[in-house]
Amino acid sequence: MKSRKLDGYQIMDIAIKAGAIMLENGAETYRVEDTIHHILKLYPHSESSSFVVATGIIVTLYEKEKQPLTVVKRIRRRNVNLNMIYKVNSLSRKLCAKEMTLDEAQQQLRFLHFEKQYGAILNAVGVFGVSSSFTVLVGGTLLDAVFTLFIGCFLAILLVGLEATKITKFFRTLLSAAMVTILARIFADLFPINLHDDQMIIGSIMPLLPGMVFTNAIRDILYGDYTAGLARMTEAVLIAAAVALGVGIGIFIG
Amino acid sequence: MNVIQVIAAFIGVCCYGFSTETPRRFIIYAGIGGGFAWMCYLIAFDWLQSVVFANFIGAFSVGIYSHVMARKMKTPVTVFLLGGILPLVPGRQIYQMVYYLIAQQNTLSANNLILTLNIAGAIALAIFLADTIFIMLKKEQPIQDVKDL
Repeated sequence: MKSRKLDGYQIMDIAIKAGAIMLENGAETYRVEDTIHHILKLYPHSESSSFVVATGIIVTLYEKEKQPLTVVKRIRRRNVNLNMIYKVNSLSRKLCAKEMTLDEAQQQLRFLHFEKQYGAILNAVGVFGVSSSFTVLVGGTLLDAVFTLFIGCFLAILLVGLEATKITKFFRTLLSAAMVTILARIFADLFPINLHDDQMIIGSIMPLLPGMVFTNAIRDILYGDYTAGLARMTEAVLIAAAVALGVGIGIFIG
Repeated sequence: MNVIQVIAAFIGVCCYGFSTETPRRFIIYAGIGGGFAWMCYLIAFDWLQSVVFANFIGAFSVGIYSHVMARKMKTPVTVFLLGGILPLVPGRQIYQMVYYLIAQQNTLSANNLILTLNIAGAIALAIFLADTIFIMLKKEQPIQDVKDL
């Protein structure tokens, strides 16, 4: 009797940790609920229910003639790390296929928090690579792309620098958009070659635009998670507004 | 020019994989998704001459691609879908909206705002459709409600 009770706590711990890591790293709400549900199904003779919103998880494990076990987990940190989602997903797959013991899963989840695949330099490549390729995509020349590379480098440094300060995301995005716009216009004025500042600005703001948040919001809404979907949609609209405002300020000054 | 654009979409989405920490073995596939989305967009645009429809076609094809790849590789769909959608994000329209607003050409600005919303709607509809098709094909049941409580 006692050992089964302990077992329940362990499964709950794994489910909550897995769910929290997924939610923190930008998974869709339905996937978090699905993962928690699948893991808790491993506990025999019980029913489970989970309620996931953008900022927290509530899970209950209900067993007949026993006290239900409920855990609330608040999520504060939010970023995007698809590798974490992938890893937790395959972990839960393995767990449900009985290819992995609960102890192993618990051990792996404990160390998953600190993992990062790419260093700071490759993360920066992620920013200026996007900027300069999307300059070509919206009709800029290769010369525009080369200059956008420099703007993108600047943007990458700016983003890292701003993240260290305590400025809210709205103003960080606004400031970054304004800075890249000013820089693109300065480049276009300064150099006596034919640069297209429109395409350069559009390319540079691409990494700032909330395409990812929007996609997740849409999918949450489709799966019936209206609360989470609406929260993400609000975020997407707010960030897009920040970019627009930033570009506006940049054009006004530059 | 179009081939260059498709290659640019591929490289761009691959690079985007670095900032979203896409698993190393899937970065190339995510990039191919981006290139594929833009290729479909360009073909659809040549055919229909409508930005909104072309975005719909592009988003729908990358949605299907992501689901097929996710099935094959046993990964969450997000890994391919988030990057693949990126070339279709209406950055140009948002920029032009602001640009014309500053230039005090309100009609053009409003046109671009409406176009932005239309494109967002088209992408949303395309993702809805692709997801729904694959939910229908899915074998296992979705989350069940608690019966005994």
